[in-house]
Amino acid sequence: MKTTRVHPDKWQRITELFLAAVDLDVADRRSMLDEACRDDPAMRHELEQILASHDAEQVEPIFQASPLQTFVEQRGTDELIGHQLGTYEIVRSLAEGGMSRVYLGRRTSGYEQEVAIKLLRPGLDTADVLGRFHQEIELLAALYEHPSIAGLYDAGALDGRPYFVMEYVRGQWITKYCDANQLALRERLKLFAGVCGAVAAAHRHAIIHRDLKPSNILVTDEGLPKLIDFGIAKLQTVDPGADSGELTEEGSRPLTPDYASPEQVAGGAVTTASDVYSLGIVLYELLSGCRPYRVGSAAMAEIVDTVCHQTIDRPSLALQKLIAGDDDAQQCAAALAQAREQTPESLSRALSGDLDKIVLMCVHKERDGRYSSVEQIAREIERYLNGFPIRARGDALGYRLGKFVRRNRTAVTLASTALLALVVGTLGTTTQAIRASKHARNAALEADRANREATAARAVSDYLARVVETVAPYRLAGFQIGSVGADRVPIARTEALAENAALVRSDLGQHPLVQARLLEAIGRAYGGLGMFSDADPLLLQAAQLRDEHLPGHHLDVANSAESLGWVTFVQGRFRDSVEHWRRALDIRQAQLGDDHPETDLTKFSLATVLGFAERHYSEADALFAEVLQWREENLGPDHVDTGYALLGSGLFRLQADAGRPEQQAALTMIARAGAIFADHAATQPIATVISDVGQSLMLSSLASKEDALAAAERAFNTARSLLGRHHPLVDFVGLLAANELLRQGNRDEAVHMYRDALADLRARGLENSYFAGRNHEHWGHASLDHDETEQHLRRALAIYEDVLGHRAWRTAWCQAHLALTIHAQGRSDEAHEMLDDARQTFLQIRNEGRDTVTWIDGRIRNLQNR
Amino acid sequence: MSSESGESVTDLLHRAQQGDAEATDRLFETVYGELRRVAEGLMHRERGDHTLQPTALVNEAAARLIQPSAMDQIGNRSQFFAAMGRAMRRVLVDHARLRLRKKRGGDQAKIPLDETLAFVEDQLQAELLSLEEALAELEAMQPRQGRVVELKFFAGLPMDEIARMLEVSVRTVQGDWMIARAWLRRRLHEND
Repeated sequence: MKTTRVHPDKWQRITELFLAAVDLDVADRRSMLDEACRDDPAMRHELEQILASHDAEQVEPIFQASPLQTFVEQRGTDELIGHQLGTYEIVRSLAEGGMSRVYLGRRTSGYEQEVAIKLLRPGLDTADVLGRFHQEIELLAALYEHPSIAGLYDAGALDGRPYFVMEYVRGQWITKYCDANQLALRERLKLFAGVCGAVAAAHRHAIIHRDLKPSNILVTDEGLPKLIDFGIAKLQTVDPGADSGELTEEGSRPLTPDYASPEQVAGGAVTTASDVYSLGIVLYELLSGCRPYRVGSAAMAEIVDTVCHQTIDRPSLALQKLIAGDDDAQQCAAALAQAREQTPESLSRALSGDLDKIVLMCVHKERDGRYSSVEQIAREIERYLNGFPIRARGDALGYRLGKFVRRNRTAVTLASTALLALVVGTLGTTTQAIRASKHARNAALEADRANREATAARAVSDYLARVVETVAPYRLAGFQIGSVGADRVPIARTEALAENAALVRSDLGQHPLVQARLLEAIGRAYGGLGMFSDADPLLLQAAQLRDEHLPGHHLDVANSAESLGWVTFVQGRFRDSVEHWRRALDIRQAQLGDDHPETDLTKFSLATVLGFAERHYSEADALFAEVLQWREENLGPDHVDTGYALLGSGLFRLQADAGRPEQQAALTMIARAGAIFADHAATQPIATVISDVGQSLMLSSLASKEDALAAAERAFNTARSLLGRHHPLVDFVGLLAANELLRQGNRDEAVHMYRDALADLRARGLENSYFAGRNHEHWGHASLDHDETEQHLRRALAIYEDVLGHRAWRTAWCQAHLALTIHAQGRSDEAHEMLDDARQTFLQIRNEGRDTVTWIDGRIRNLQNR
Repeated sequence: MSSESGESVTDLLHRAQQGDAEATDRLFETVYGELRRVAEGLMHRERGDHTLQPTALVNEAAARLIQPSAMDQIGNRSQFFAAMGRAMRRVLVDHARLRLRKKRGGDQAKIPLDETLAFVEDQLQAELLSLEEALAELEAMQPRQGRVVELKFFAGLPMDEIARMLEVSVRTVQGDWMIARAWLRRRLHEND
């Protein structure tokens, strides 16, 4: 609350009342003020503020002895001033503590450096005190590495008194730093996330700070936050009683009740959750400029009552109250907002929603209601800053996604591309890895059986060993596309694969099932490298062998069908994929039931191809829903596979519900998926690619084109560096990035990318593949020259006719665009015919949203009117 | 010990104690001048000189202006510290303004007076110029309370000496000091 100067007469009155009230207890003060200020609420407010400030001054005085006197006295009484301690000279006293005194020191050799030196007071060298002092040294030593924690430089003893030398941080309180530099909310959040990183590092070393407050979080002139004063922090042991693994300590009271957690003021067990709370109060203040409450040096009972029971206003509400308050309050709100480069109203709006929720979750009265760790706060802030939905929202779909909802036709096309990328990315997930190793194990078992049965047993083992050796270093035993592209595998390895394939084919004829299993493993490995022409025949042969020698409902038949589904899918042969996956799903549902990861995986695959490529919306919708539900229940809401399901469902719905209110729900799902991927980025780098793809799509629908492009390019670059250039996922993501460039009007660069991609595909023998078709198609859209456009669209159409078939959605879509180009060149009859044909396709595709048909009808009308 | 004008600080102190207003002014000028000279001397000293650098400005000034024996002779240090208090306030404020200008001018070189200023600001947990601004406001509302802050905070005089100087009761000085601190604190940290 802003103070203003008052008239001297009024001030005289305030002084008198203050002196009368100052020695009374809380209740008496209140009744005295009730009486004396009955007609003057403003004066009462002023008095209350001054009294509170007086109380605070009593606890932590800032107006102590005069600097002059301190200097003079120190010179006379403290023989250590000017004393040399190792390579440091003691300059002056900085602070006094119960056990020790802290001096400012300066390095006297080498480079110039200021340090803080903490020296145990004389006569306190009992085992207990020494133990605690050494503990603090240990604790600082443990945290030495972190740039945002004041580091320990040296330790030693002076006449038997231990001391340690640590970094002297010259900085401002974080709150003051932010205000002085007028940092906007985003900057404040970034800075605060840095603080969380430092506290999280301390927690990882089992150290709870316990006294986090602005004066212990300094920011240097360079803008680096520094955590200081671990004086009351403690090295903790894990409480065996707490299964959460939280760190606990029975607890001495904190120094500053304004930032202390309920459990701290109530004398309960202090855990890492207490630091979460204190950080929450700091965040509250950093963002809103207000404090949820001020207890200062109130009586203990009042402190406990306020901290443990008083409801905390959300930050935006606290600000609203200022805005609606008297002149002083409004002035205060204006100043706070200005320090954040906002108006009070815009600041309140900016806080309401996500930021309110994040803060309130930090300062939940119950430990279990807070973020489970400081790291979670940092991640949450990151999610917020990246535009992903935050966790504190829970699953509430009332989530205000208005900002996302911007009807955008092109999002449909983009969604298709991204969805494709998603599916390819999925191949590298955990489930696949588990499946792959299981697969290898089964093969080994079977080989073992064969070992006993057949004379070629030895050979089988050798082959197996060599196959595993060939692929294991690259984890390609399964169909793991999320591994590397063919250009990343030494030629010797791919040659070894070919050799193995040849041996398996020629020598294992007597053991068809073993042969099938090995062929399939090698075929999947080829597929994983994007070498489809090599993969196809092996997988087909494996499938044929199984069809011949196994009953139709055998699970291995399903395995073959699944492999064929993948390899046809990534080549864009969607009709074939649907057929294979339907077969795999039928068998797995019959043999394994619905409640099984393999059934779940097949459902996801089938949903994807039906929803994206074949546009069988209602069937896809039902499958996606089942998959999502199964994964949420069985794998948990944060599992990376749940993320894939969310992203898949979200992108599918974005495409299916384009322009309808349901689109909000779709965007929420995509965003939730993004948050999950962000969490798994470290362990599953491929997830960052998928996450960026999702983000690009979201940003794109937000009309934030530049950011969308940045995300797409990031995804492309990451994918390329992880997987090499010759990889299907890279092909897909590259297409996404190029299309995003095109949307921004950067035709030249987009065309450049299409051309590069086509050259690369040609080099891999994939010039007639689905990807090649897509690149031709978009190149056609990018071109301003009718002839060139027609040429590329025709090329694309020919590929689609061949790979997808005539009555396929993408074929018709390409056909329609080609028709428009042809019409523009004056060949209207040909154009009409082509458009009608495309329209027939759209009408034939089951459950196709009316969008495309409507669109094409509009085009046909336009053409007829000309 | 003499100031440059040849007047003994001890003499000035004696005269100021007897109510000589001119002596009080001159004492202030002498103390202020000496503080500034010491400050400037420190500023221009080479960085490698470690013998004086860590020694704070005020120690120097006090030691040069007045010797312990002279202090004992005076018996009552209040006039000296009063002048020292006001001079201290002004030196620091001058320096804080200088620092502000330097900051704006992009000159980040550190000068020794920073040490003293940092010490005060560490204690206040606030900028000295904010205190100066607040103190001026307090003086406008009640000049005596401002004077008490100067004598207590900057000069470090005991309550009874301040009461004697201001010719009020110790109780009044205590009340002034209490509300002044509370008000200034709130003024400095109202957004904390």
